[in-house]
Amino acid sequence: MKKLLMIIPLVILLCFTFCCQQVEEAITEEQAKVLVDRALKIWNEGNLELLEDVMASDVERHEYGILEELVGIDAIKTYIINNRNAFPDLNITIDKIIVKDDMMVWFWTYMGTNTGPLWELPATGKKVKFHGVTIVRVVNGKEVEIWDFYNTLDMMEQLGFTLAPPQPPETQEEKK
Amino acid sequence: MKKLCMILPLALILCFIVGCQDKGAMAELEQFKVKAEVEEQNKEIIRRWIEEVNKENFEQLFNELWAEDCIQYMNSNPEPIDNEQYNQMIEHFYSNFPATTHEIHNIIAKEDKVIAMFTARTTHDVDSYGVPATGKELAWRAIVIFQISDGKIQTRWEVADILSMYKQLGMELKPKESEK
Repeated sequence: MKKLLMIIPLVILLCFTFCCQQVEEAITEEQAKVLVDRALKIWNEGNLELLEDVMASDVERHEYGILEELVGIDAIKTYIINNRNAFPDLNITIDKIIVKDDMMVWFWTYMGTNTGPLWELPATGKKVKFHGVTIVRVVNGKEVEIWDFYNTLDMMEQLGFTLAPPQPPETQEEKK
Repeated sequence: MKKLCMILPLALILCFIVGCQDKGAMAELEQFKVKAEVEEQNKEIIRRWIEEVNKENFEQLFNELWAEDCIQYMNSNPEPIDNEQYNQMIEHFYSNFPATTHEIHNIIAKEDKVIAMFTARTTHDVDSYGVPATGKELAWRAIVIFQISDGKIQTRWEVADILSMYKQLGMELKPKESEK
């Protein structure tokens, strides 16, 4: 009986301690900084082996200008390789980081010279500089979902393109 | 002896609880609560703005939620626009896409900032940017970062996928005339 009396308060104390240490899924500013540093090494230096350290295997990337979502590390790897081929001197800098719970928000500037083909477009030799925002959801220290936002039109205009109105087949025939 | 055995652990627990609730920690917790409350209020302001705004209530909702001296950076343009320019922009936008609605996918509040990802949807039922109505449904994504002071929206940065919007209208990217 005496032993029981000793154990009960101990159990209560333990419960109390666990309650205090509520398991937090949130990422810390330090963890976010490490992930950003690695992302920059991946994009700016082409250090693609780091991808598996920072992303979960079923990671999803929602990208502007691309209709399908990129799912899995391999799809993202191909996407980065294509980007680095189009802009071999690619240099991304981080302007600001906001961390909240399991989400990170990165504000960045993208600079590069288009000396390789971009998607189906031939190289233009032009320099681009534009800003964007990336939101990343992190689970167990790894990126699981990425949303990327930038003004694709701005980038294409810097590359020397402009928007042309649609040419319906009827009007083309009328012109003939 | 048995009674002492009962009282001692109880006293210990009490000490522990009181120890945990030191005033510094309580004040910090209170501050944290206030901060969390403001973040929730800010989120609600932004949720209302994005999801409720339409062609008819635009002016009234804008006057209610935005600070008079607010500043807006649209589509990563480094030069901000003032209210007059913004009003012209909105008028132009609604004349091209009168039936636009917005759906928020994700909203994050941190201190005085609110970050919202949303999809804009509209029906191409009038002449839009020079393209005759097709009746097609269009959708494009955007992100907006708001900075809120004293319950009013003070600054907005927005990046919308307008290239995708124009492409859905049937426009195409072509090399500029001078560069052909």
